[in-house]
Amino acid sequence: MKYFVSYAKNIGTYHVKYDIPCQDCTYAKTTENRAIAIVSDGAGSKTFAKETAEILVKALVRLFDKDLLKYNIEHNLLFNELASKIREADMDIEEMAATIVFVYVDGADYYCGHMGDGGIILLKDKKSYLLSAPENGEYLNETFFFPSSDETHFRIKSGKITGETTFILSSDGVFDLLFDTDTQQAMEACKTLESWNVFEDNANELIKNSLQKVLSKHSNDDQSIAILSVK
Amino acid sequence: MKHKTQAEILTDEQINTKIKTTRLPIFFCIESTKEFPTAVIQEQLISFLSEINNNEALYSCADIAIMQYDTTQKVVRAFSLINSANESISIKMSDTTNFADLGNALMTAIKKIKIHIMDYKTLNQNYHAPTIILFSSGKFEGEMQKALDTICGLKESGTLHVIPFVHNSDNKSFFEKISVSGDVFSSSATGYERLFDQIKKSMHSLSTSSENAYKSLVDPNVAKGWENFVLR
Repeated sequence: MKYFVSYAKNIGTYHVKYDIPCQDCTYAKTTENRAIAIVSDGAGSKTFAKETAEILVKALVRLFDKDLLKYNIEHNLLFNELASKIREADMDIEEMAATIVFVYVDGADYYCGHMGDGGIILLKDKKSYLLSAPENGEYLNETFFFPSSDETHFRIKSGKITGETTFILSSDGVFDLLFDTDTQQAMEACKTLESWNVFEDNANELIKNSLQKVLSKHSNDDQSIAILSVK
Repeated sequence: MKHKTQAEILTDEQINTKIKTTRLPIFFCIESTKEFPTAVIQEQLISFLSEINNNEALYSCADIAIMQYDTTQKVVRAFSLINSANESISIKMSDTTNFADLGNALMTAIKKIKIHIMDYKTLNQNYHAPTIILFSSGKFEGEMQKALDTICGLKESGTLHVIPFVHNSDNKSFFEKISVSGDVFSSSATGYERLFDQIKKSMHSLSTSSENAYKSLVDPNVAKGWENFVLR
């Protein structure tokens, strides 16, 4: 199996207007037989939104690098591990919150974790599926965050990869643009993103360019996309 | 061997641009006893609905219901978007000499809102916290405790905002308890036209800024000027 990853983010127009930093954080990487893609979205209402998103992404990457991610997932340790990294930071815990969505592939096994909004779209056999849906609260923009929300909202799924597969992860600023929840189908853009991820050396640049010039017209929020393909 | 793909940028045609607008449900409760200037409110409401229809940000999200109440209640406009610039509503003043049965009116409004919220959930529709905009003479009779307890519970959980506009300061403490901000607003001090302009200004702000998502219409961060309407 061969793994391909790419990722990009773009600051939302609202954040530019009010001089607020981009509070999304995204990253992806591969080794010979493992890969990970991550998107985290800091809660706009919190002072340390950006920092929380970065802590979550770094914590996952650290576990990936030490090859401890599978162990933490399979022993139900990941929620506490990530929450503890946030608590260790020298910041007011009440002002820290971020969503997280990631996909980790180890050989032919995949694991995905998700708390909050955003989502994971799965492309396989020329079909699309919503692998992990946004979980919203009662009202607009109300969702679940690390570390304040209950562990029950940290949704872990796992499965086997049996053929060519692509996972497209996105923050809430872009998820609705890539997936039509009425028809439960991925938009055509997802095929292009998959193609860029697998075939283009400058996939990150192409995604970033589309975020800046096209997708940002339809949302004033920060936008992040991370893609992981297995061929 | 890598293959170049044709597209170098995504296009609008490739993405989902029919994103659902977040609905802003507002339930007007208008007292229709002789204690309250019903005809003036009716005139302002008709103008208000027409202006919403012409407001790009509001016509696709403002979900408005109107109920008149005296000793009974009557829904004169069920929840729906505004789809006509010339919508007519009719609020008839009651012949009764009794004070309004405000407790039952509020419970009826809550029941109607709950049914409407169920529809939102069925349709996976995003929505702001529902708001009851209450116009009252300030005088009422009948059982009030149930309405008070229910509203206080919903207020505490953030699932209902009540904004009371009253004609005089009788029973002010009741209105303070049910008010989302704790303030009671005057329904007449600065004129009804200005009052409806202020409501519209807040609705516009709430519907166009994601940062205001949890806030009430009378939150000072949503729109400035509400302090001018507080009943002293």
